[in-house]
Amino acid sequence: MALPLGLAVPTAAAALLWWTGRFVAATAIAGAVSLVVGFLLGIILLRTVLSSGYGVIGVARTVVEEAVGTRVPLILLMLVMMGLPALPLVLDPTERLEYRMQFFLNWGLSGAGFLLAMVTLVLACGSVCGDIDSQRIQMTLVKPIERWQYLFGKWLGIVLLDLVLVGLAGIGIYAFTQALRRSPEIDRADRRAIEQEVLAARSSTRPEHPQREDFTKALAAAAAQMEKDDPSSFAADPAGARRRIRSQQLLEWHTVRPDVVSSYLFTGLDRAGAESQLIQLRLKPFAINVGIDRADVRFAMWLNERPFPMRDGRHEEFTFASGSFHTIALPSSAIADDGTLLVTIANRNLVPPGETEATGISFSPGKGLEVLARVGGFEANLFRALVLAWAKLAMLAAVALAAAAWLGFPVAVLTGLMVYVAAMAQGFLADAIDAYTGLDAADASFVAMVRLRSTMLRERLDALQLWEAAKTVASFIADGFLALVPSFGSHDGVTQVATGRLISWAETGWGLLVLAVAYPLVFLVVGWFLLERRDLVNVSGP
Amino acid sequence: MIASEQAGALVDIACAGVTKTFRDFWMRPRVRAVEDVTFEVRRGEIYGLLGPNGSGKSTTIKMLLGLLRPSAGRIAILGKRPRDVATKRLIGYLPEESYLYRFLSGRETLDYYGRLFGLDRRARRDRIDMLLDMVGLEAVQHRPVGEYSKGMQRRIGLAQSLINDPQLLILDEPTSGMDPVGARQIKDLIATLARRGKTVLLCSHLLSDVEDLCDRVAIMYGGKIRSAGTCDELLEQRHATVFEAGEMPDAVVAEVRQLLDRHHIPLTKVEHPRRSLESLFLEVVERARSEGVRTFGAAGGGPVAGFLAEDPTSRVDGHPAEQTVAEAVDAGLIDSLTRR
Repeated sequence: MALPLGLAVPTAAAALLWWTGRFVAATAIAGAVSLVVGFLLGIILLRTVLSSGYGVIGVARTVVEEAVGTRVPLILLMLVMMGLPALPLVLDPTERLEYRMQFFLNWGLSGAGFLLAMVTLVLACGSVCGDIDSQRIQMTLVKPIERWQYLFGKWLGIVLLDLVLVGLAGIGIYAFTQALRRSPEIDRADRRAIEQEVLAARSSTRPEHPQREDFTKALAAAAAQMEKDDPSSFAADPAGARRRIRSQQLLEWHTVRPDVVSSYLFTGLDRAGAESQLIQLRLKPFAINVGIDRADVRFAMWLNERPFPMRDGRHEEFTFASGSFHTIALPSSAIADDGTLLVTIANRNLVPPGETEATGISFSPGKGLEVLARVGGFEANLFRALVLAWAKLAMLAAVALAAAAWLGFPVAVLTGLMVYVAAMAQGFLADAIDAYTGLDAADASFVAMVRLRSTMLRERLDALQLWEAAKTVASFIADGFLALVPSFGSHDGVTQVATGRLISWAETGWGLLVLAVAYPLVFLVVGWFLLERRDLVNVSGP
Repeated sequence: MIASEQAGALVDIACAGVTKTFRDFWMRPRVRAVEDVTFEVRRGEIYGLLGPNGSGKSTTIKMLLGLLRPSAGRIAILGKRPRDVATKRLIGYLPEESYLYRFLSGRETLDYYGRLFGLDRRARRDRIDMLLDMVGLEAVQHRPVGEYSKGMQRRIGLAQSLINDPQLLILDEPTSGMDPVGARQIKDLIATLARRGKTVLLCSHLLSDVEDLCDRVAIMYGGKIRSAGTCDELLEQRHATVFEAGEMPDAVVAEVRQLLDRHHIPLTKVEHPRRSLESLFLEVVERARSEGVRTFGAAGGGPVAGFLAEDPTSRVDGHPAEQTVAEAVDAGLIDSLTRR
């Protein structure tokens, strides 16, 4: 009785708000009600799916009942369900709609991901620690069920519940995105950006050197030269040295000196040319050799050796602010039949006042110069992002269960949280560890990093720099921990969706394999190993 | 021949020199809860394990169930090691307290444990109906277990221990927290199950329960078995003799006294026997029920669940129980136990 009444009141409120013209608030309340109804239907579905008489299934179903029957996970779930509809309400209507949609997608997916991660952690740790602390586990493990089956059942229940929750979050995000899409745009460019850059799945192609063999030979020659000039440094980390040389050469190639032209070859654009009329060149130019912040850069461009753009028979030049991303729409007809596009850029910078020569233009290798082409729709891309988000929760559930198999509830939750933070910010943490110990090992492999740190530790101990040596030991431990944790950044779906970039099926499949199969398998085996060796009853005597 | 068969009787529980030492985080010995315990329980027997709090009874039971690893010694349950999963299909266990999921209803609780035994939906439904009727919780089957009284939780705990129609039933303080009616029903049930060939290991503080039910008992103190044997062996007092006769006038009593004096046998006590408080209590409750007085919570229990009342060679999960035990025997393990 309480539930229908609890749903009827907000539904009536939404209808009233709609009738009085407060559409956004009405949509938000209706959305929240829909998510709650969806959650209840999802639970019914899970109960049906988990109705067979296998022990593992029985454990899984009890986890679902636990999520429904206990309060903490439910409160977090309610936060997800209330937070999503509330997000559009905080957006500034004077802001460009493109940015509002990107903000919503970014924060909606990230926020839901974070809250569901907390739900997963609390539920997984609470379920196993609660069973052990209250001795309920005795009642289960005296039945014909192996301890690994017990842990697997817990994991299965949690990931199935996560599947429902991620699905609901996805439906909510999609529905509110569509509602936002119908909001008035600022101008035509705003509308075009929404349709072509946000609500799209664009593939990214990065350039190849037009003279690939020459470039490879130049890399080999530079490596040989370094080996000759500084053999000890090269021998310490040959792979790292080669990576550094390659980075330098790439930066050099991505730098257009005054009165010089540089060419960048984009290949494999056949599908892009066939599927969309327009493709985009996205670039982030920097003015180098100049002390002025955000100085403009000026350049001329050719596409497959034809000047672009031509207006009234004249080859026009581009002028962009330095240090910002810019997008140039290119006609897909410029792509050659073999799917290649050669972009040639000539530096047209003027000589700044007080200088003797014009500034150079540099693009960061990687995302600083790329061709984007629409190859799919927003819906499928969002689906793949949700699959990746679910895979992360599956990994986190296994981590939390492994921790709870050995530790008490608070410590197990903290351990899970630590792994979650490490996985989310792995790149940043690796850089921070390097900065802490004063070692530049960002590009080094794990083995090379160990070798470099060992050398550093020996040198510091020889010099009796004990504090510095202790920091090196701490960095060893931290690096070892990071090596065990996958990088969620490598399987990022949020930024990709918010910026309209394609998450390919291959990336999705790989993410699933790594995050939802391989890592959970490892962590569940660890959890089973710990649980198997644990006495599940404490002494009651003195 | 079944390896766990000794002197013509099947042995369902065999413990030899079992010791359990609890250790702290640094693996230093903290408490020796059980020390060199040796006993065996035969098929169809009700065996009582007695002892004050902290005497090692529950620790022993938890080692039998594979929840704790013995620090030394060997254990065979139905001819297998305690952690053997297949053997657990034949064991029912009621712990000293009913550790249940508070958010599950009584029916859902039994359904959960039925699933762990791999029972299909129809078997679960039928058995749950019979068990709820047997323990008198039919009317409250949809209420969360967290709202049950302690006695009701014990009843649902007992029901879950029987859902697999176990060959071996291990009951730790089964009547704790139960009213005399429920306690009487449980005692009757245990006796019925034993008559049907089930083996029962009973752990209880209520000595009268143990005395009423058990064929043999072991008394533990300080982690060791201090005394063991049949109730008759342990309790018989050969220095006194008791006669029971119809009501006797004082003159007849005086004659009996004279007769005994002639044989130099002192008559130490002449009194009218009293009925037990338990029988009076049960009579009052039964009378109230027959008058239709309503009560809340657990109702009077029903008959023994049909699937439990079958012949002892009844089928367990599609296999005759006898055969399942025989197939499950670990000959090497039993040999090593019997050699001690």
